Amino acid sequence: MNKTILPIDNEQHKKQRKSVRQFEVYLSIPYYIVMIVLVVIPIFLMVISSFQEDRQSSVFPIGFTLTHYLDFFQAASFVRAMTSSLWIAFATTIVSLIIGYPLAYLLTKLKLKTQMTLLLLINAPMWINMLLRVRALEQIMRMFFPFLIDTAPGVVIGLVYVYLPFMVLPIYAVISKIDPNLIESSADLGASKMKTMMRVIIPLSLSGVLSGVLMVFLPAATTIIVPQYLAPSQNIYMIGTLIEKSIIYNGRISYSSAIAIVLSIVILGIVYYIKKLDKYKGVNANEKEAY
Amino acid sequence: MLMKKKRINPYQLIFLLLVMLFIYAPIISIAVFSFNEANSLTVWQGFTLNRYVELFKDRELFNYTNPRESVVFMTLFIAVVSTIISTILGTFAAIALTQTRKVIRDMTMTVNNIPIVSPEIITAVSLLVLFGALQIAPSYNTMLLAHIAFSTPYVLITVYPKVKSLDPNIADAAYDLGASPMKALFKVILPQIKVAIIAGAAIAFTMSFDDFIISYFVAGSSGDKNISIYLYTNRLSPKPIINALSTIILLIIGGKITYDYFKTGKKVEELE
Repeated sequence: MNKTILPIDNEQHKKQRKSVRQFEVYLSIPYYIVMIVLVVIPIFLMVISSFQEDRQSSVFPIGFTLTHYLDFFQAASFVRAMTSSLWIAFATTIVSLIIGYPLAYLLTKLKLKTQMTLLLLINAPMWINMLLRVRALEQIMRMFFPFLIDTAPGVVIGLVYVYLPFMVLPIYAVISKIDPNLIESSADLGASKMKTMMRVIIPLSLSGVLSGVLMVFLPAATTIIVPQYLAPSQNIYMIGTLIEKSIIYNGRISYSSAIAIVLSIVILGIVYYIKKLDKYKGVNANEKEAY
Repeated sequence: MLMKKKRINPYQLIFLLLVMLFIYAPIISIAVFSFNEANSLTVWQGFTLNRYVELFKDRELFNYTNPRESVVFMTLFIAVVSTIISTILGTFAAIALTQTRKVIRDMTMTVNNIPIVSPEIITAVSLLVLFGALQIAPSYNTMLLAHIAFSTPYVLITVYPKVKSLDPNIADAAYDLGASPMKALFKVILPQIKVAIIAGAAIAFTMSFDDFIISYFVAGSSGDKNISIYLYTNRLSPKPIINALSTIILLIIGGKITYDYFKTGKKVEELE
């Protein structure tokens, strides 16, 4: 057979690449339109709106007022909601960590097949509608632990119930990636089991713990559902309830925008602080693969 | 792996069992009480399937003559439509993203992460302000737009790593052999990333089907409800049919997870 080698035409090749790239750019235009209109612009509008008086039919015409922000420092409801949200989220994070860390550690000690099964069982509820799960928990609480209804510990238990998998998964991912040789060499060098735990395993799993902390703390602090189900008399007043009330019942959109912005700033501060704690980042050789 | 996997001791076993009990007791009780004859959610009176009959007769949840008024139908409709749209948008954007300059890529990733990282309630308020400013009345339409907005970023981050890992020579070979960009896309690129696209679509569907806060904020005041809003607005007068509805949802999800488990279980066995 006659083989003919096609000469590589550089000019033509470049042209072809260019047309491919152009085609792909056209394909991605709808995505960018959606992201700009439904993600970027709303954030700007929310900021503008927070400086408006309420009772305007739309954001335009634009005025300027600091009323909402100044109100916060006088409004007991805002300060109370903010502090109780942060406290409850903090307690939830600690309890999830106390349950989640040993659980994740225990998982890595088991046979691979058992690990997979248990992980799946821990994860599976995340696919179920959160309202169904919280309602199910409410039912159990009313049956066996009615004294927990309308209390802060009850709300914390509800939040742990919903967000525990978010703590277990990142910790499990990091611990299972720790090189077993490190643990062995720690033992060979004479460290007790306790010491290996404190000096090797816990520091190496810190990045997983911190991402778990963030993934539990943030949704816990901004929840609406859990206190509404588990503290229906509304004596546990969290920031989500405050925003829900001002929007759904009072229609105060600008006021709610201002709350949302203060909340975002607080959250950004917390995220920044927690990320800074992660001093062992990248120590695990395989860590990059995990994320 | 060299490390020996030891058997767990009794304390560890008890700890594991307690955690599983904590996770599953409420879910199981919902299923059990869906067969309760009494209206009560706490006192057992006898077995019945009446709740399931009542469920499918409920005009608010299942309206067979006017699907637009049916909570279950509209929830599924919005989930399907928003999944299709966000999967297409996210997949195409992921493919284009590998070809763009780093500055644009980083910027896109930053914006893409906003809805994923920020608490739902903040996304909800920002979308509410947007629809208010554009004077779009709250309804299933605003709900659909909102669902597209928060699902698309998840599709992008699911599909993008897969696109990035593709061998560019394969697509180049297709072009050299005369395939048009369109043909190369459908015959070469998309088939290679099929699994990632399906995973992204599954996430988008679940996100939409389960969403509460965002839907409630952007559509709640109109009376248009998805299943979550329906559950929430009925929370103070718990209807027994809700247990039946919940059990059906649980069974569907449980079935899917078990199916996936046995599929991946085989792979794990091969690994061991």
